Amino acid sequence: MILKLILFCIAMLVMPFMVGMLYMEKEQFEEPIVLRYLQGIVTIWGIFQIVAIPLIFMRERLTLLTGIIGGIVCALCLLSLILNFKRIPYIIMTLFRQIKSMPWQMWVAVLLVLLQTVLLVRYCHIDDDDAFYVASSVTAVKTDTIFSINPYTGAVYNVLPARYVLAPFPAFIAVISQVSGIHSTIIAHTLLPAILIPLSYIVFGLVGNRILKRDKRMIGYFLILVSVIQLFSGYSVYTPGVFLLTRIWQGKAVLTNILLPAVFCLGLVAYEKRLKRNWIVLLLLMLASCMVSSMGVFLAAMTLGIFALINGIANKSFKIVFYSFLCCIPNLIYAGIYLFIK
Amino acid sequence: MEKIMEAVVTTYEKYVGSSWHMVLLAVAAVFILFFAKEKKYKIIFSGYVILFGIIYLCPFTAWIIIKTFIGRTVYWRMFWSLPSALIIAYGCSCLLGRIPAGWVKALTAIACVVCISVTGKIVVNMDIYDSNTNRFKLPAAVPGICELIKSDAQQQGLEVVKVVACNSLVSYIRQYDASILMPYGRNALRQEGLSTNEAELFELFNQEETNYERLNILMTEEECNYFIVSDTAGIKDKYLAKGYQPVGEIEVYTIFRTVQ
Repeated sequence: MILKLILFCIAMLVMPFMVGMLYMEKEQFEEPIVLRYLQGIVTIWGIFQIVAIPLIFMRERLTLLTGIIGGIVCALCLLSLILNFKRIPYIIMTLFRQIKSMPWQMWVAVLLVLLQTVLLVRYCHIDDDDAFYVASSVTAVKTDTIFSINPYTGAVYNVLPARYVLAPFPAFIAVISQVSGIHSTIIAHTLLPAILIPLSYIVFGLVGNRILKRDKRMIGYFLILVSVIQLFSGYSVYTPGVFLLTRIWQGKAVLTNILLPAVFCLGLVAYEKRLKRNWIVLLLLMLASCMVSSMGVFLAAMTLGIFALINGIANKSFKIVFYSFLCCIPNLIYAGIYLFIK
Repeated sequence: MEKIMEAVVTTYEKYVGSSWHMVLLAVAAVFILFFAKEKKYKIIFSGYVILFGIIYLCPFTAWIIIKTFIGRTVYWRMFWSLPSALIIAYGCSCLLGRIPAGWVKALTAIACVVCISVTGKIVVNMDIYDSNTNRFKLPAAVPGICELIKSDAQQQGLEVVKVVACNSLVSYIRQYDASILMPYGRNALRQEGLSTNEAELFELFNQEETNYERLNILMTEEECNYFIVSDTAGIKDKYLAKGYQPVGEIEVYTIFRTVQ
């Protein structure tokens, strides 16, 4: 089991971080290291969407998907290692320096996030929607297929389910399961919350880092407040906080708690530092949003659309609106495919 | 248009419930407008809330979104695009940023926390969570039932295992082991995508006094080898009386082999 856990950690922690390092500019260390992790995981999810959709329609095997994704991600990691090899000791030192300089407000925020993570890792929330989402992953691994089999019954689909095939997040869990050898249900219910809940707060922290001018005390207060808002959002079952603290392993929860807030984080990065690579991450973010939930096709595009329009006005820049529109082209394509196969 | 406006209002009520977090959001947007240090962020975040509000409330945009993208029943998902946690926290941070460091600042932060807590409702309560009884975090009986069926199927030389499960287990069997087939799953509870046979099987299997002969025919036609009943209201005894062979019992569940 330890070897399996190590493989899981490599796939879900080390590799996204290494891929994210590809976006690092020369001698640019002022950005928090965790931004690289977010950029890395968004890149992997975006690439996953590009690779998985054709394979689903061709009714290919899960092993092939795992092989292709594994190959691409390994190649990117290798490239990152070559490009950043000399910087790694400095990056590790920077990480420790950033942790060491954290004020008490940040430590309180970290403690709150840890408590929420432990809660979902230790206790269970039995959610009926898992009958589709988690069973899809388990079915994919067991039968070496991707969305070809009805997860409710195990019968072969005559017609692919239009609502789900364009959002293959369960297939991503299946790939991680195949790579690590851990049962998909354990990955979804126990291991993913341990990564995705902190990631959600990392995204908020990164937005806070930008809008609060890197003032760590204020970012600490900001994160404490975000944490309390999420904890006290049980006034209806539809809020992001409820999805975060009960079923973060489902694609729609990832959309609302990680990828939609990431539009603000990665949007600001792209708008403030208008580098080509930052626009590419924004494009991949739109792809990743489509990957996790069919709702992401519209909601991510709408969020980026509103945000870009307001930023365009605030910065008096049409380029922001135009480039953001270009980033939404995948959403338009997937919406078109959905309407075609529906 | 009236129907669209009704959907807009009911969706808002459904999403917000009895909480005052939307009021906090509006107050936070005002705070950002007055207290944010950078003009750009004043425009961006207050402007976002206003533009989102217009898109959400405007009958024309709501109609397009409901008809084309989201659907009336889940129009509340529009609120996922409104980063209320981010804006409320930023609004409070803007206020805190105007207060010099020290105990007044810490007290104001505590006041903000209290305000958020009393206007919302805590997610974390034991109605939602359960102490997990297995590493899969599935209902406690599920792994045992699946293992029992698989081991019996192996002894019987069955290559394909197809199980009719009672409603309390129907969502979880295939999360544990996807090699076990089922004539219907959670889709039956939602009345989705069932063939005539499957629908009839689901109906008969859930009747207290059922037509056992017809049930047996349907299970044979659907090639089901096992069925699981929850022993409420003495259902188990009724199947025993009809000559079905029990394979085993786990918790309140009895697993039977079908007669073929």
